[in-house]
Amino acid sequence: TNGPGEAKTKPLDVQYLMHYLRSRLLTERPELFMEGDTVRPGILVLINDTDWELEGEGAYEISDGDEIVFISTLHGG
Amino acid sequence: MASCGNPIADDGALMPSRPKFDKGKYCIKCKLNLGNIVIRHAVYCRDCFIPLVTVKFRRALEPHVNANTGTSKRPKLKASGSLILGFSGGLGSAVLLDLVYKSYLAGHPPTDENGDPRGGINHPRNANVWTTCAVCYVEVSGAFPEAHDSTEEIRSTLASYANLEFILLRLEDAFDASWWCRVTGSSDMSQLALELGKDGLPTEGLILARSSNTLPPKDALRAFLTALPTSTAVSRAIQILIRLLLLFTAQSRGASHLLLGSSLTTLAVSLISCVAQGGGHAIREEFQEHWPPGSSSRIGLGGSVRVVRPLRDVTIKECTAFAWWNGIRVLGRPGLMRAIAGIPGLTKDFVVRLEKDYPSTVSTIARTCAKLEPKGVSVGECWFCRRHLQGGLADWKARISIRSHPDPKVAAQLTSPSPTLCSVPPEQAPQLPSLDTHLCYSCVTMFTSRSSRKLSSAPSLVHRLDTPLPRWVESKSTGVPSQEAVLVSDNGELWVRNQQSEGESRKSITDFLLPDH
Repeated sequence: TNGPGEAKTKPLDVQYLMHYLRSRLLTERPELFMEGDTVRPGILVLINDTDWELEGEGAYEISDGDEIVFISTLHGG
Repeated sequence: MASCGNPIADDGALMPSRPKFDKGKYCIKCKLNLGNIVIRHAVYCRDCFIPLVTVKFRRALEPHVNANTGTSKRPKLKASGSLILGFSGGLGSAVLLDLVYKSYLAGHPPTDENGDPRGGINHPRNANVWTTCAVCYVEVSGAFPEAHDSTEEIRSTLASYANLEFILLRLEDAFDASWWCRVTGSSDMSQLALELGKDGLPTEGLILARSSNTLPPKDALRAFLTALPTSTAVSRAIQILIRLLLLFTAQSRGASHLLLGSSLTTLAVSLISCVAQGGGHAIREEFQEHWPPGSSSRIGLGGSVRVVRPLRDVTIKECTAFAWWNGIRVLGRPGLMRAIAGIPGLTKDFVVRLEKDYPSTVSTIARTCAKLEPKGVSVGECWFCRRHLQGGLADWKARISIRSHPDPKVAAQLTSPSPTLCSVPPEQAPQLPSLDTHLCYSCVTMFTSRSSRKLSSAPSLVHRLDTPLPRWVESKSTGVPSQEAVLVSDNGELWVRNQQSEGESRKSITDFLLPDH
């Protein structure tokens, strides 16, 4: 619990990770990765080899050892 | 009971998002494992998902392998020729290559507990379905001055698949006389050019460029693309060039099948995009094409070629997961060419977004389009895209066209010829057929549409001569008297047969024509 006057915190989740990646690691064309608060349509997210739709999408709380993969599907035919 | 509250004041007032899967998190197929992926609201584990994709691939391909369907429900697969795979390095074609290789070409049939090859006499693993298999790649960097040539990356990707022939084509081959000679045996080196019309309206004829004006293939390609009026036209033209390069190559090599890696998602995009660009009459060919022997050209080589899209029931999400879990390398496109411009790009954006929230939409698009039947009959073949040509197109366009201009200077220019711009003296200019009677509606639109936005390189209303055309656009009748055919009848009379130009034909039947009202 937080003391009086301290900002609220929450466990690290995938949504925070996406924002972190966009702001800290992406060097160009961030709009191809995120749109608003979620990934751009056409990007498949796997959390420990499982579709993030089965894990709660952005609300999934990240634990040590988790493998999170972002795969773009928009690579033509 | 939930009520509509204020989400700003109360976090619990937000409506919970609807789950993207219908039932529980367990695989709906085996019902034992926890699911790994959600496909159209259905949950599958990885062990059930991979065979599912393979089954869909085979179900879409195998009915089209044998030349004759026969009466057997499960006939032995035996194609009449070789196999060509169109490969772009993208997701769909990479998945297709992997599936085809492992299903039909790997050469190591799996064995059962006794060590015997699995599958019965009709199983495809126990016989070579195609005589040979080649992978054909069309390098498109020639169309863009600063684009990266991906040939070596493609070659290294294919190195992991043994016993596959690699055929390299370049987009500029469509304008290369030597390539045309190789695939057709034609020694005609003349270059056809397109006149876009002095009034900016449909083209009025083909001009045979003289040999001194023949451009190198890459320059001809860039000149052709630069002359196109919109980015939609450029995208469409490149797709047509790639498609026909693959088809002519397949036909010249005696291939019976040309496989393309279009997924269900990209198929839905191409269907809507095709209709949006006026190609609804050829919508059935977006699913599958069949080139009969010797059709579309004077090649006369090889048998028929079937163009099949075996991944047409597999969504792009399924392709992605399949590629990831099977370690398939996907090259993708360099940044310069990543964005598809115009209508195709907008359509792709729309369909991909729609698929995210409503994943069943793409299959609905494909199923609905498969039910469509074009109105009217085909009266031939479009000279450019080599698809069906609708009848009555020229009359319809003449009825809806307004040929006037508010600017008096331009109007005067439209009504008078411009001999200074013409490279061929009028008295020597051969009478050529009107191109708009030999192009389908979508190709006419491609050449003549005008963007509502002023482009920096937009063509002005002047003659645009010597815009090269691909080699397969041949003039069936140049209007120049062709070689006279001399026939000898049974009673010894000599008959000389000449080809009449359009003007001569009209003159001979002028007494029977009804007056225009």
